[in-house]
Amino acid sequence: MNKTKLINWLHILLPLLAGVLIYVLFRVPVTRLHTLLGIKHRWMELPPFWGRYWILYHFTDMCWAYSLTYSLCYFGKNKPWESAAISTFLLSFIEFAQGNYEIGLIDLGDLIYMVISAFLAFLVLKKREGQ
Amino acid sequence: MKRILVIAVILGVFYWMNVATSIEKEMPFPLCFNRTEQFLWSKPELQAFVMSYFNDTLVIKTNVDSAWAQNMDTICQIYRDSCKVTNLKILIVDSSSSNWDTRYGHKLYFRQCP
Repeated sequence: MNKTKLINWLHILLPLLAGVLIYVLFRVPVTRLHTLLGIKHRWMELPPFWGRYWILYHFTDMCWAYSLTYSLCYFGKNKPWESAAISTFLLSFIEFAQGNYEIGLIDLGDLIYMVISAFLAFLVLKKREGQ
Repeated sequence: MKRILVIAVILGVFYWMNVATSIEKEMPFPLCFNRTEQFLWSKPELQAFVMSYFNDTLVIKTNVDSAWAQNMDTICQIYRDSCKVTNLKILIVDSSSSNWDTRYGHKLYFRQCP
């Protein structure tokens, strides 16, 4: 594997790893992931600081959205705009589904953060390809 | 064709990840986990956080063995008002104690919400 390829894979895998670690270590074990891993209680609490809520509830989704967009754009090389659009559509759809398709129940903060990180992933890949 | 297949696989994998990290369906009040957590954060003197949810019981870990009667009332109210959940059981434990009498630590308080 050459260096460029390795860095692209790291852009996909590291955010996923970060998100999973936050879930496993710091979130209340009420997700399917916790059940799958047999985790019954939270291992530790994130120390109090101003960004604690953001890290627990938004950063994890941002990592997922970044990784999704990066992988779609990377593997769909010929049409990065189309890939980024597909990614944005998927993450918006998921947010709507989680809010039972009711505008008032959508976590707007989550959606905005995810769209930002999807855009960031697109820009990073474009910049890397331009180098 | 190959590209469509690759995109479909990526979307499938990431969709599965999203499902895996979403709250279990049998837990009808995900919103209230966040609200309870925010309530506990707003009371740093309690040194408490939501540790688990197991067998219909919300487990809260703390280092402070006082002032829980009123705070448990508030948590019951959060669940009743925001999530329409009644009869929630709340267990307050101190896991720094060496005297463990529950699977999560030493039991300080237990209450079933009205």
